[in-house]
Amino acid sequence: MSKGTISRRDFLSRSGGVFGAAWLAANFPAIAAAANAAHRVASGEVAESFEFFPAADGALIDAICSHIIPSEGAGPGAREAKVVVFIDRAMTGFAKSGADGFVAGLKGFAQAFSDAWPQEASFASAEKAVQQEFFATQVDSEFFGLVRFLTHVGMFALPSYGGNFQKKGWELLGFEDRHVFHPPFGYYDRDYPGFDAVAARYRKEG
Amino acid sequence: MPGKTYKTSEEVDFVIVGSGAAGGVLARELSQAGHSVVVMERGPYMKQGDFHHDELAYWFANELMQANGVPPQSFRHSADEETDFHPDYPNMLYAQCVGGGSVHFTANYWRFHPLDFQEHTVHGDIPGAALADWPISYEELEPYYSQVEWEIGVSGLAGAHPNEPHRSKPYPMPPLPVKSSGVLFEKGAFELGLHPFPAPMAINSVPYDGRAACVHCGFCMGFGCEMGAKSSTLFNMIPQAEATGICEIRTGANVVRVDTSKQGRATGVIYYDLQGRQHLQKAKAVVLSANGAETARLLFLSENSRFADGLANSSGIVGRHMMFNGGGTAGAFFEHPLNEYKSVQVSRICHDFYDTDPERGFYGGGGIDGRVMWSPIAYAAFGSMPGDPGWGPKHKDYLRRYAHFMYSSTHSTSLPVASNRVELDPEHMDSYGLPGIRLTYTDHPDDLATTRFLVDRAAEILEAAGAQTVWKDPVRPQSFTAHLLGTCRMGNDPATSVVDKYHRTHDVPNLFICDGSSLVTSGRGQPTETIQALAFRAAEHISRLAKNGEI
Repeated sequence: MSKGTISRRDFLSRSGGVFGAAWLAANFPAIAAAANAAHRVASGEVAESFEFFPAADGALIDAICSHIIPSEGAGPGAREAKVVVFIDRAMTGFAKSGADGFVAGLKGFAQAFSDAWPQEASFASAEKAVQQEFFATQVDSEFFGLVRFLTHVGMFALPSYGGNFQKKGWELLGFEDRHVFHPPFGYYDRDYPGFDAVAARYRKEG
Repeated sequence: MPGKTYKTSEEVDFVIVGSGAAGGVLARELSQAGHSVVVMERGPYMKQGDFHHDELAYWFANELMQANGVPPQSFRHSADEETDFHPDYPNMLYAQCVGGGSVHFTANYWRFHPLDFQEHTVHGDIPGAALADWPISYEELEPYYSQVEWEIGVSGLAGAHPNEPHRSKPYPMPPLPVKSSGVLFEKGAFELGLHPFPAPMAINSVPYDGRAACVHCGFCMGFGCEMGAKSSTLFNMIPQAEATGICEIRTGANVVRVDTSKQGRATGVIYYDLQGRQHLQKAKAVVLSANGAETARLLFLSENSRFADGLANSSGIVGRHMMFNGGGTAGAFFEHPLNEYKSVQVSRICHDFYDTDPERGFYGGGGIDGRVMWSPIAYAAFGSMPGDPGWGPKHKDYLRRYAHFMYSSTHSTSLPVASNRVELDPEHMDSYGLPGIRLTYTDHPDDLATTRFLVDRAAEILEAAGAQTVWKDPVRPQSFTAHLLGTCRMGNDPATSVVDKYHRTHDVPNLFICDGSSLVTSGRGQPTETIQALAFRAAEHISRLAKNGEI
C-alpha cells in the first residue's frame, strides 16, 4: 500500500484538504444515508430535481463537471453519470457542513467568469470554446480541487452512492462490475502456455 | 458459539497485545501448546460477510482504520521540520480489527534471503545508518518460513528462479493464474535476460485448509477478503486459537500500559473497554505484537520510576531505526486491454536486483513486480501519467485507457537510521488524554538511490514488453507506509537491541515483543512472511521457556 498512500497525500493537496479523508471518515454514516436518497433519484424512483441547489447553480455545477469529464468523445461523461445529482444530495446530507464553503466556491467561480466574460449571461450558457478558455484559468483553485474530487467520486464510486448512474462511470473505464472472474483476464494472458514453457523458450533462445 | 472468556482477575499464562500477522500466530501456537491466552484487540471482530467492494469506504474513509482509542499520528521528516498533523489521516496505515494488517494487506509473501541476515558483515558500516547483523541466520529461520507457507497458506512455484534461497519444502499451492500484467512483465524481463517468476502470494489458488480459492474479484490491496481466500490470521490462526477453548479474543480492548511489579516483572496489561472503563488483565507473561509503531508507544506509555525512559528501553533505542521499505513505480499503457482490476494485485516478480552491487555506488537492492495499482476512483484521482491535466478531453482519454494500464512497482531496502523514530507526541493526545505517536522519518540517500535505480529497471522491463507509453513516477522522500519495521530490534547485546534472539526483552524477563519492530534490517519489502516466521519461532521458544519454568 505504501506507494498508493504517497499519492493519497497528493490527492489531499489537490483536493484542497476541504473534503479529505479525515472529513470523509467523520461523515461516513451520513454519506451512506444521503447517497441512498441520491440513488433513488438516479434510479428513477423519485423525480429528478435539485434539493439543495437552485436550478441555475445546478446547471453551473453540471457544466463544470462536464468539463472535468466531458460528454464529447467516446464513452459517457459526468453528465451522463448524473454526477450533479450526487453532489446536490451530498450538500443536503453528508457534505452539509461543507456546503457553505462549496457554495462560496461556486459563487466565486461564477463571479470570476462574469468578470472575465461580462458579455456572457452565465458560464453554463456560454459557448463551449468560451467555457474551455475560462475553465483553464481555474484549475489551480481550491474549488476546482474539491469539485474535481466530487466528480470522480460521483462518477466512479458504487452506484448506491447516487452517482455512477447505470454504472456509466465504470462503462467509461471498461470496468466490469462482477464479483467473480476467471482467466483469461485480459488480452495478453489468453493462450498462456504456462510459466515453465515460457521460461524454457527463453532459456533455449538465450 | 461464544468463545472462552476469562475474568480480568484471573491470571492467564499469556496476554498478547494485537491480533494481526504476528499476534494471531502467537495466539494459535501458544494456545495449541496448552497455555491460556487472552488476545487484546482494539478493533472489532469482522467476518467475511462484513467486507465489501466499496472503494470510497476503504480507500478514502479509512473504514478499517477506525476504532475507539486509535492514537493520533503526526509526522515530520526531521527534528528541524515543523510537525505535520492530519487528524484521522494516518501516515502509518494499519487496520483496526481482528487480523490487523493481515486483513487489508496485498498478500505478497517473499522470504528474505540469507544475505539479509548478515549485511553488516558483508558491507560493514554505512555512514548515517546503524546497519547490523541479525542474531539469527536464514538457515535458523528457514523451517519457520516453510511453516508459514503451509499453515498460513501461500501460493507459489518453488525453484522458479536462480536467486531463490534454500527451501526445505515446496509451496503448498500452485501459483495463482497469471494476469496480463504478469505475462507482459515476464516477457519484458526475459527479453532483458532477467529471471522473472510467479509471485508468491498468501492467497489460495485452490481450496486450502478449509478456506475457499480466490475468485479473482480484484479487491485485495486495502480490502478485507469476502471469500476468506486471503490468508489473513482472521481466517486461519485466530479461529484455530479459539478452537483450543483456552484462547479468548477480547475486542474493543485498548491497551494503554504494561503493568509491572516492584521487582520489574510484567503483571498484565491495563486497557480501556468500549465503555471507557479501565481494567487490568493479569497475566504471567505479556507479548506485544501491536506493530512497529504501537508496540513502541506502549513501551513509552509504560514508563515508571524503575523504567524512566519507557519499559524495556535501557538501551535507549526503543522507537528508533524505523524502516518503511523503499518503493517506486513506472506505469505503462498497452495496445490491448489487460483488465488489471481483475484478480490479485501481482502475478509476476523479479529478484535479479535483490543484492547490493558495489558497482552501483550505493547500498541497497530490491524486487520488481508487474501489477495493478488502482481501483476506479483512485485511478481517476491519483492518475500520474504525464500529459494528463486531470480534466477535459485528455483526462477522459486517460480514464478510457484504464483497462490498458499497468504498473511495475519496486520494493527495496530501508537502512536503519537512528533518527528515524516513533515517539510519544508532545502535542496531540488520544481520547483518554494519552500522547499520540510522532513519526520522524527521512529516507537514507542510499535508499532513494536504490529506488531510482529500480524504477529505471522497471521502466526498461515495460518498454521491452512492448508498451505503447511508459513513464516513471518521480522518486520522492517517503512519508506514508504500511510497513513498520525495526523499532525494537532483536540482538544479542542489550546495549544495542531491545529483545534477544527469542524475542524476550533484555530488561523484563516475562515481557516479549514479536512483530515488525523485531526486524534488524528491512529485507526488500514484503516483510509479512518474515514477521510470521519469527512469530512461529518465537512461540516455540516462549512455550518451551514457560513449560520449563524459565519465565
